[in-house]
Order: sequence, then structure tokens, then C-alpha cells
Amino acid sequence: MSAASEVIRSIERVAGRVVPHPGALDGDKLGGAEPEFTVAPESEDQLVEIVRAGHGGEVVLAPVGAGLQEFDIRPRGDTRPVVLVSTQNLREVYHYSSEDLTLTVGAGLTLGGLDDLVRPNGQHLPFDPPFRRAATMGGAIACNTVGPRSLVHGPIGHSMTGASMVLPDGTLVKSGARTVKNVAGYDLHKMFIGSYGSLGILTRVSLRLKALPEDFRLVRFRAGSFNDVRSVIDRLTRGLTRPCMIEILNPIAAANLDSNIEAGDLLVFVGYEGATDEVAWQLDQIDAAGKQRSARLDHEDSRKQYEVLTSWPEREADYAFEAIAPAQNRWALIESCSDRGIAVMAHGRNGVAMGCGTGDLTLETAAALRADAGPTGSVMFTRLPAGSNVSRWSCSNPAYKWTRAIKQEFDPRQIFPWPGFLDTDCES
Amino acid sequence: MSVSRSLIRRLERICGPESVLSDPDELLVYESDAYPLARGLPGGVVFPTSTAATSEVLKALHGHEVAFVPRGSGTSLAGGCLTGRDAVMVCTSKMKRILEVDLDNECAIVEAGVITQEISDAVAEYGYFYAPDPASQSACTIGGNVATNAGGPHTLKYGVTGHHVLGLTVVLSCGEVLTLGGRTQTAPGYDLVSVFIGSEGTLGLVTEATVKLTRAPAAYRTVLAIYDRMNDAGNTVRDIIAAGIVPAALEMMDQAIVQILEDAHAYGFPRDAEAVLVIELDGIEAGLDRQLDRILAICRENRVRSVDDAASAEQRAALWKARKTAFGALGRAAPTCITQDGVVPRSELPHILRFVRQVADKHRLRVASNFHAGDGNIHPNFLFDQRDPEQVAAVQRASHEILAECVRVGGSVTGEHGIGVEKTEALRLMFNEADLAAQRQVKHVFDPRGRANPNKIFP
Repeated sequence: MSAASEVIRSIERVAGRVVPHPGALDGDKLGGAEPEFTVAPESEDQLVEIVRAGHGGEVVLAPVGAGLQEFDIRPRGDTRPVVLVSTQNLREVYHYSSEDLTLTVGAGLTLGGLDDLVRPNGQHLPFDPPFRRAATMGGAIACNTVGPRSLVHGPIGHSMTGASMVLPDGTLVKSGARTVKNVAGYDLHKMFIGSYGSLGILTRVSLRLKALPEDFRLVRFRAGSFNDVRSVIDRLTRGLTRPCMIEILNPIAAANLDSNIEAGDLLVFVGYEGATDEVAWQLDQIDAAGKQRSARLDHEDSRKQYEVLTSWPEREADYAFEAIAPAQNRWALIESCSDRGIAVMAHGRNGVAMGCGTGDLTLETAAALRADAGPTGSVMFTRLPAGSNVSRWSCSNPAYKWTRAIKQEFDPRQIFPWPGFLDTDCES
Repeated sequence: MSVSRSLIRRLERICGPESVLSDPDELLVYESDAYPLARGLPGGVVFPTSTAATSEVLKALHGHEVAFVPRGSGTSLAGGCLTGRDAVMVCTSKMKRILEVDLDNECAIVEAGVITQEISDAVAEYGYFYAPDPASQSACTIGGNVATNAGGPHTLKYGVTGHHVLGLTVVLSCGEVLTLGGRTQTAPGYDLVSVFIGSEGTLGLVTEATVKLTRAPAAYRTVLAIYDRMNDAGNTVRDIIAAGIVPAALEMMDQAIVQILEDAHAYGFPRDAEAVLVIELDGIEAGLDRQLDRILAICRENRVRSVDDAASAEQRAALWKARKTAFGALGRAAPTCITQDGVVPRSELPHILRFVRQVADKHRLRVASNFHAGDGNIHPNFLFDQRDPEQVAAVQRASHEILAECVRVGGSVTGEHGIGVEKTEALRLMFNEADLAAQRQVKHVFDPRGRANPNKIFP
């Protein structure tokens, strides 16, 4: 029996069940990974034992939550068997204080499950990555995808106060605390943000919650040109109102959303949240300024439209990406996508845009998008067409040298996934 | 390795002789920070004026196998800037330029020695401010704020330093310059910006920070709520948070600190109240009055004696001046003051306030508290004379008991001052050996020889 097979048997003895075929647990949810085996530990202790069984490096252990996003698992040329470690059973609520607005949950709890727990108390976690209800807490953290409301609430790191994680050597460690302020030791848990499971597996996460705003309303603007959009956004961000979100849809994304709009029109959705009178006053400011081609949505329609915006990019698209670009490059990127027939929705003012397209994705197109994002920007393909030779990650960040050093320190045997940002020679 | 004459000369060649101190009389100024119970004379102090110069300095130190200790304004309350003769202090106070204000990205790039308040001053004309506001903001530096993930009264609404830093330039102990993050909210790869924030200079020396700018509030409502009983004030804080109201600030001062403030400045606070709360709302004018009404109702439910409204901008400024000068006023009350820093869940605030009083009574210590009640971040100030070893021992015992109780009820041993040298052992109250070993692995990556601010954080 090979060493890898012995490890699989060890894992099976711990977990009781190792599924030999990919997707047998839930085929639609495993994204683009190609595992040979899948295991779903029932508890944190069981997860620790699984990692200990696998820590020799004979197999790759790839943590997966809801499987909403593709991710790189092995370095190029690595042929070790892959065991998907599903966190879907790690859903325990370890602590919830509605008085303190603090919560500690298993990393496998979905954001929808979290909503169901806290919303009845008039609270929420102000974190809205795509397909929010289905995403697991651990997966969303590992992918570090931001949503529209990150404009005021920040990325998930702003809500995360601590965590427990299993490291590649099978040690269970914690960092941070339950309280909303803490500066004891290093924030090791923050390193797991955007790590794509490459440093270990989050088992539980401590979060700070916020009170649900009394009201939430969207205003929809139609604009005939990019200059019009920029003008709208400038007026909004320098004026008297304080939007909680600004979503810009280029003509292709706008047409996908609303087939009735004029060809070439862009859409901008601006959101306001807070006390009812506070929101109402801000909406009145927009009306008072005589903004053309704008429409207020009522509370219910705002909520529905928000759900649509946070269920993007379309899952039918052949490829999808998340671009990070400073303001100086953002408009060029959005316009370039429009010229190439790529749908884009950009979160105004936080530097993040999501795009998707159908058909083939050429190396030239990928390179052009990366160039448009600018020297300090990046484009990460969250979905690629089957058989694509486009690299998932941009290679422009000098800090990648130190992310590799961290990876090497914690996972010298490369037990956990190898996201492309760790490569030294990735191609655009 | 000791700090040799040849190393000093090398530093003088890099930074200029006017930017290097080696005379023992000059070094005395740098033997301590705001933590009074420890001091250490550095082997030298150097003041680089740029990232490039800092890199050359650290390369020189690396070549001589000498450790370094970063220092901004030296306002650390936990001994974070302390060192000994075998290390060189690298002071960022001459790196004080605001390099760029980028309104398109709503950020500013500043050198580490920029005084925190100066950022807000520089962007006020554009309608922005820099939100984190430690009490020492007119003296402390951004680099120091990054080191301790500094907070302040308005952390309650706006978050701590880590919520407002988008990128860092760091010089590692080998002299390599590392650029992390940028002008956007997120960046691909590991969130190393967040790992460096709060690392107290033990991973490298921050020379620049890209900080997020926040739109200045349009309006404020600020009140002073006066209580006959501290318990009632604590319950008020708990109930405000539980009601889902997030004021911009929710600060508490106890009777002892109010009396000290009155002795020093005669602001007009009531000397007989057991506690006062400074409560501030900010934001869009519409809606503030209704929120304030809700808060006042909670105050009344918790037997507030009276509420004074800081109706004008001048009154508001005066109230905040009073709150933020409390620490300075303590200097008149006793030869020595230690400001403790612990955090508890807000629901435990009434309990921990009683506990602090009990511990102080038990050890026969005088304590005065002014703190960020809305965050559960307590600051009992022990007033004593460090020339009496028994008093010192009593303060240390009392501090440990309070911090242990903070952890026991689900809190932390430090909310914003950091571990420094003061609390290295207290870290064990929160983390076991495996937890600490994992954190040491991070240090090993960036500072394998342990030369970045040695003897801090880890026991």
C-alpha cells in the first residue's frame, strides 16, 4: 500500500467515512477542484485528528466550505492525491451574546445560518460577499471577497475579532479574543484572511455584530456615459449624504440585470442605511439636487435588488474575476471590460470590481485586464473555462515573497493548498 | 552585541552626526517611556529621515548584530519603547511628512513620525478626518499607533487603527524594505498589514502608512450624564449597547478622576458624583435627536442624576479637552501613575468596575478610572509612589488580579496599549504554549534573529 493510501486509511479511521469519488457529497458545490477523496469531519476534534493523520505530506488536504469558488490546490507538477476536507458539519454556535453583539461560531456555519441566528435579535454581520447565504464563514474569510457594504463596514477583517485554526502540523491554536477590542499578541487569525486554505483550517471564528439598520433604501441611477457615472459618484461622495454602498454596473452588466434599459446605459445603485429619518433626509437631498434619471426603490424593492446585486457574478458565466484597482485605474478597467464584452460590477470607492464573461478567455485578454488594473492592482480569476491556461493570479505584488515565506514556515510539506500567488513564475 | 563606537560612526555617516545621540547625558531622555516601572539606557539613538535611511540604519545594525527598538513619541504605556545598552533606539520623530493626500482613493500616505492629530488637521479643509483618536493624539505618532493598534474614545463607532490603515512600508531587521497593502480596502495574498498592526515593532519598523480618510460628520450631539452611583453608569453603558445603539463615543470617568481633574483645572464637573458619562453621537443631522432621546431614556431608566448638553462646538471641545487631559492631571495626584488597560464584554462592565474597586481596597491602593466604556475597555489608573517597593508590589498584584478577571469573564489583557514589557507574563492568561509558539513562528519569518524590539510581547 502506498504511503498516500495509508494516510487515506488513517483519515478514514478517524472520520469513519472517506468518499472516494469527487462530488459525491454534493457535486454542484465543489467548484473547480479535482479531488480524489472527500471527508467531512463532524467536530473540531475530528478535524484535528484528520490533519494530524495527513501532516506527513503524502496527500494534500484542501479545506472547502460551500465550494462556491474555484481555487488552486496543488503546485504545478504535484501529483499527490487530494483530500477535500469539508467544514460543512462544523456549525456549532460556541458563544452568542446579543447584549454584547459578539458571536463565536464554527467555520462551517453559513452566513445564511448566521443571519437566521442573529436577525431575530435585530442584529447582523455586515458582510455581504457574493452568494452570501450559501457561503460558509470559513470559506468567505479564506477567499476575502468583499461586498457592496464594505464601503462603510469594511472587509471581513473588520468584523473578525479572533479565531481558532488547525495548523499543518495538526496543532489547534487560537488568536484574538471575543471582545471588540484586543491587542494581545499577533493577530494570527488575520493571516488566514484571503489565504485560500493554504495555512490551515479555520475551525471557529469570533465576530462582532452590529444592530440591523432601521431602514435600507436603494436609489437607482441610469447614466449614458462613464463621465455621467463619475459625476454622480463625485456628487454623492463629496456631498451631504453618506452612502453605505455604491454599485456601478457597466452596460453589459446593466443589460443583464435589466433588459429594458437603453443600450449603452450604465446603472449605479446607491444605498443608504440607518435610522428612518436619517435615510429619508438623504434621499430627499438626492431629489433636491435634481438628479436626472434616478429612481428611489421602496424598502422591499431595495431589499430584493440588493439580493440580486449580491448574487453576482452569474454562475452561468464561463469565467469570472475579482479585480482590485485604485481609483486611478478603476475607470479604465471598467471601460476596457465594456469594450471587450465583459460584464462588470464595481463596488464604488473600495477598489474592488467583479466581472464575468462567456466564451473563451484568452491570455491576451487576461493580460490586458491585469494591465488595466494598474501596477498596484490585481485581477484574480475566481472561475476559469475548462482547460484554460490563464493563471488565476496576477504576479505583480512584491509582498508575495513574504507570503511564500509564511507558507514555508507554517506548511513546509505543502499539506494545504497552494494558491497561485505563491508561485514565483506565474504567467499573466 | 554591544553598541560600538564604530557602529555609532557608521550611523552618523548614514544620518548625519546631528541625528545620532551617543552621549550618556543625551541618552537619558530616552531611557523610559510612559510606563514608569522600567527604564533602560539605549546604546544609542538615531533619527533617520526617510525609509531609505532607515533601511541603511537597520542594515548597519544587522551587520553589527545589534538589536533595535523603534520609538515614535515614546508615549507607550506598557514599556514598548524600552531597551538596554545593547540595542539602538531608532526614533521616527524626524519622519514627519504627510507625503500625499489622495482624495480619489480617500487615503493619505504619511511617514511614521507624523503626529496623529496632524493628519486630521491636514485634511479638514476637504471635509475629511482621520478617525482613530487616542487620548495622546496631539503627541503620539502614526507609527506608534500602528504598533499598538491604538484606539481612543471614538473607536466605538469608527474602529481602531487597524480599520483605518490600508498599507504599510516596513523596514525589516535585515534592512529589507517591505511594502504591504496599498490604497484599496483589500489586497490579494495574506493580510500581512493586519499582522503587522499591533505587533509592537517586533516584526519590523514601520516607516510609512497609507491611512484611510473618513468623511467628517455633519453634526454632533454630546452630553455629560452624571450619576450618583457608578453601578448605574455601568448599567447605562450595557443597556445602550444592548439596545443596538452605537454612539460615536461612550466614555466614563469615576469620582476619583473627576476630583483630580477639578483640582487641576476646575472644569466644573460635580465632585460628588460617583461617575460621569460622556456620550457623543455624530453623523447626519436628521435622526440624531431621536437617537439621543433613546439614549437619554436609557440614562433615566438607570437613575441618571442629570444630563448636561454640550450644545455648542466650543462646549463640545471643552468636554473632550477635559476627558483627554485626565491622564495629564493624574501627574499632580501622586508621584507615580500606572494606567492599566483591560477589556471585558460590555455586559460585564458593572461587574469589573466593582471588582476593580474591591481589588484596590484590598491592596489599599488609590485608583482613578477614565475609560472607553462603550468598548468595555477599562483604564484603572493606580496612583502610588514607585520609590516604595511595597506599593509597587501591591500595584503589580492588583493589576494582575484585574487582568486575570478580565480574561475570566471573556475579555483581554490589553485593549490598546499593547503588551510591551509590562504584560509579557499576562499573555499566558489568554494563550497557551501552542498559541504562543505559532505567533513566534510569524516572528521567526520576519525577524529570525530576534533583533526587532527584543523582549517585548512574548514571555
